[in-house]
Amino acid sequence: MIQYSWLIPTLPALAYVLITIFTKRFKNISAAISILTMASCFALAVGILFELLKMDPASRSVTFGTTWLQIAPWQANVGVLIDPLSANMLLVVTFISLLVQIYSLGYMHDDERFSTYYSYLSLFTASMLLLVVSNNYLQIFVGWELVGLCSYLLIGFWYFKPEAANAAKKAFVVNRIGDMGFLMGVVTIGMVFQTFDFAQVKDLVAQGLANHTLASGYVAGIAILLFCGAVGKSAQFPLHVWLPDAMEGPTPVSALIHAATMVAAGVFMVARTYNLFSADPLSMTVVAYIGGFTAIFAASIALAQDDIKRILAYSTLSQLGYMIMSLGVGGYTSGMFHLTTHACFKALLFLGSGSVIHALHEQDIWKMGGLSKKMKITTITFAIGTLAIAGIPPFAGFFSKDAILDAVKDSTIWHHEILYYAAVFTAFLTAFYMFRLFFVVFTGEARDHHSFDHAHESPFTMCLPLVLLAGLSICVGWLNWPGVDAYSKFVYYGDLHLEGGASNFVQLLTQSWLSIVVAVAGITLSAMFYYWRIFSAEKMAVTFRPIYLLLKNKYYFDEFYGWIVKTFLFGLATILKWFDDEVVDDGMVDGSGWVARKMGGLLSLTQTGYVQNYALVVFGAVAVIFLLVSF
Amino acid sequence: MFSVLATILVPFAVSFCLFHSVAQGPNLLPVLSTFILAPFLAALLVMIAPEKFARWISLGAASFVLGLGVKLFLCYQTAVSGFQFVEEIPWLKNLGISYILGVDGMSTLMVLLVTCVYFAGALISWNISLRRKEYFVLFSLLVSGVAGAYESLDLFFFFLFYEFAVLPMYLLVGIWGTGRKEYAAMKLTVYLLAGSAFMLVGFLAIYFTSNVHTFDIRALSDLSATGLSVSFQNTWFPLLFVGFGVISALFPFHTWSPDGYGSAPTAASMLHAGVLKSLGGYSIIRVALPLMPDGAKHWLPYLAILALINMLYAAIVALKQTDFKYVIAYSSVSHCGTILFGICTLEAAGLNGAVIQTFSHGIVAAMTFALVGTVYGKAHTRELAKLGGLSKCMPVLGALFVAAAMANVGLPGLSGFVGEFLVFLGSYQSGFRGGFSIFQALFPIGVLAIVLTAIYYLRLVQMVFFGPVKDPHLNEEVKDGSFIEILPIAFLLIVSLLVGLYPKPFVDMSNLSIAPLIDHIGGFK
Repeated sequence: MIQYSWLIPTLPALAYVLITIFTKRFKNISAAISILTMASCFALAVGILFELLKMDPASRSVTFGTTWLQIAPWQANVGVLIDPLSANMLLVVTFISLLVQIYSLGYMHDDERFSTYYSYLSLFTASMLLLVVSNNYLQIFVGWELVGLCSYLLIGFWYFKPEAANAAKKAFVVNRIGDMGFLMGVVTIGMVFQTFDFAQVKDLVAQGLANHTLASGYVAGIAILLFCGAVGKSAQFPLHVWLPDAMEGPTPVSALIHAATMVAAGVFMVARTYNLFSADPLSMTVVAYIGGFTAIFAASIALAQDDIKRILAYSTLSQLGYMIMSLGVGGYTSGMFHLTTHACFKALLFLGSGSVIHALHEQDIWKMGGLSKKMKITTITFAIGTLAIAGIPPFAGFFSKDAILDAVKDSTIWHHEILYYAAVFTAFLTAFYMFRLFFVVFTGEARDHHSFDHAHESPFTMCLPLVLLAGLSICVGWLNWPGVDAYSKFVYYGDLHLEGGASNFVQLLTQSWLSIVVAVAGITLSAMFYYWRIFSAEKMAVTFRPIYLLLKNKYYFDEFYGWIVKTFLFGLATILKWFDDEVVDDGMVDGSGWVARKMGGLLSLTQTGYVQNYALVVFGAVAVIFLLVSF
Repeated sequence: MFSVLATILVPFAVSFCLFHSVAQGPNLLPVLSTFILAPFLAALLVMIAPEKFARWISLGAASFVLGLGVKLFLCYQTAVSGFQFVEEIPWLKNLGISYILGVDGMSTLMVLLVTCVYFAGALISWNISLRRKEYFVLFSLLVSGVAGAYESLDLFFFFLFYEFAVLPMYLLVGIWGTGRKEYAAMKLTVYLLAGSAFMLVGFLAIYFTSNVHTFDIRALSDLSATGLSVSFQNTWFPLLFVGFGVISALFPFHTWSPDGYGSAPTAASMLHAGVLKSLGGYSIIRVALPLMPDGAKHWLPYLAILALINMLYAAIVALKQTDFKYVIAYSSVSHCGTILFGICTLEAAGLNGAVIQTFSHGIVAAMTFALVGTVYGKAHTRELAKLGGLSKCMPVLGALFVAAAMANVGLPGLSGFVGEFLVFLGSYQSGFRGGFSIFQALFPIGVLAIVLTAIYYLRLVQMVFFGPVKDPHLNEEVKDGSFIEILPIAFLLIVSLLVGLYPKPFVDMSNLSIAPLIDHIGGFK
């Protein structure tokens, strides 16, 4: 099966071409092509997983490829690398994409650019899969950039809305800033190691570090350059600003971006190039602290947001921060495990919010309420997703989040206790704001009766993915049931060592009492505010108004960046344009033109048009020549 | 539609089948001269034929030449390399001037580029109504000159063909242009002629100083025979570089470019940005580097700064333009900076990057100008403030423009990325070898271009195609591109995709010229 793995990115790319060229006019055929190719990719991914499981754990890595371009000494390949890491990602990406595509049948049913939408979805997944199966740094960059393009197209899918057009541009440009660092990292790797191949670079780094021909600080520098790309794509601080705005795209696209095909790329890339990151504590510390800071920073913003999708967006930022932090403190397995569980419950939450939006045509949570009476399936599945993200056992999020907290606690990184408490506090905030969202939207009384009366449960194509994902949001965590540890035995870096060490479930619960306590406390506090209404959130907002405004306006980062761009970039552009028009063009160019004209003017004085003048000149010249020659 | 397709396919098939590789014996016609003669004969034919045939003849000739270009690319023997299909006719023997044509890997790519843009340009000019006959005559003559310049291995004929290409451009801009067309035509021509004056002086200096007393580039490239001293090279290299640089819009001699393109008719902008402008960078690699390697090693690190200014300065100025076409023009200047920067690295990767970027920029700039021209023909304005939401009424053109913008931005999968990546790789490698650390210091600055380009192109897409429709009567009456309008743009997009998706044959082809050149020069030591 592994020899067919190259088909996984190829099939959706072909689907894109087919839909774009041939089936634009036939909605159902377009959707069928897209969904069928994705289903076959998922089947392939499952097949690959089983084939890997059959192999000896030490040799679970298959790679092959062909030359893409060649200039001595470089040979850039396009190839496939299948190992547990990529097999894990392939499953996540194809599965979530498949469900999102099925869900979109209902959600996008009335859109006039339905076929185009499906073609973009196919291309989006194809790019992500190209990145996932890559066996070299150049190809991962290629897939990376194509993912950026597709996010641009999908976020700006409703291009006639100015907000959508703006958000699409912002996503692409902010990502490009990170990509600039990534590109520099890739080029530096090419320069230092004369190859782009993951395996070769890994060997060369190991050799270089062993015989001291390569300074570990140098490797850290390269790793940090690559990490710039991850900061952009996984929306880490300070390049986080694009992700909340990306909500302007259709909601299934948000689910895709947040769960599988885009923001996971950054985490995956760090995991894929982990040998560079782990070479030096400096790069690990940078990664861990950026992740940890993003986690708590984004969670605090989520407290004060009113848009259902924005709350979820900030929760994604925060959870991505967890994953990045986990990788930074050495928790390779826990980071990837959280990526996997998060993909399930975040896709569920987004598709659930899409179901709500589909029913109400409204995104402000303060205009919702009491939806549990009208939308049973959506409510139950959403509740499962919320419990999972809050980290309540035995839902999926509990296992992965707890593994991360463990990894932080046990790490040897610089002042890891700061990170640990930040992570625990983030868990508290997460439980609080997620249940705030849940209580406001689904419980209590309807706030807007007009839209409430029209609300209805979503069609089957939308409910089916919700139910499937809800099932997974419960069960996926059990892969790492204490004592079983199936996931940890499959995806790991270096030598197998089981983290945590709990041997049964009860022991795990007692070991992780703190994270359970904070999650329950978060939920209780949230219920006091928004369910039982013992406390008033409005009064709190008034009392702590400056803090509330700060959080509500996302610490004014958008304004700050906007000001920088406007003042510095466009200021510089204004100056340079003036310089170009006035100095280079008018001054130099037309100036020399002026000199030429004046010279011509002087010379033209001799062109009098009188024959006698010319005759005089000719005579004079002859006389001068005669005199010169004679004497 | 079918007659158009027939006019394209039949001549294409004829020329494709007519010619064959040198290995299979001599061709019926001299291959390289046909690239020059076919457009020239087409021009003559258009002159005597009735006006209604003008566009058909031109399209037929363009398709014929395109078939030939593709065939040349396929028939170039990569195992042998060196100059192939050489034609040599002594002209003025005692002055050492001969009519020598020949192509190596790099010029094969350039000839292919010329034929692609010629073909697309002939299609995009389909609906020209003003003085159609004269237009197509000048258009074909221009191609004839450019093709000759790319194929010449004799400095004299190189110069002659170049001048031959510039003059039709003057008339094309001056007569069929828009806006301040007389001013733009004048400015453009004066600049290009000033550049060529530098060139001519440089050529003559080489001719009189060298011991071989010939204009033959092959003979002049043998440094031991020419005996050009280091001090001579150090004096004359920058002059030649600037002379060629003016053609490629080197800062601060770039202002002809926005004004010229702003006013030129669509096909003229395409040909100029696509192929005539590329001649500058090409000539540096073809003439200046092999003839004066020591001068190159001495000067290129400093000239790299000018190239960097080109890349970044033009990109920033593009941000504040208010005219659709001016943005594209500045973007073209910025991309030419990338080409020149690649040359300045004097590394295999950088120079190959420059060649691929030249090819890519030719295709992509032609595509972008074709789009701007088509959109202008429908919207009747190029002012960004008045445009907006055009994707609503022209979705296909909008999608193609997004593709063109992405090609300009250097998105992988399209041709722009390959060239840019190689240039950056070369620039870093150049610094790493320790020849001149300035590259390493400046490398991050060059990469800034990929962000700036993204900003101004996406801003442009947003202002023109996205958002709400600003001009109410740009809604119903405006139609999307017709088949004949879409065809050339789609064709160029496919070429760009071919290079972007599988660059190996193109890079291999370019490397056939670059690898020996690097051996010849030796790089910074």
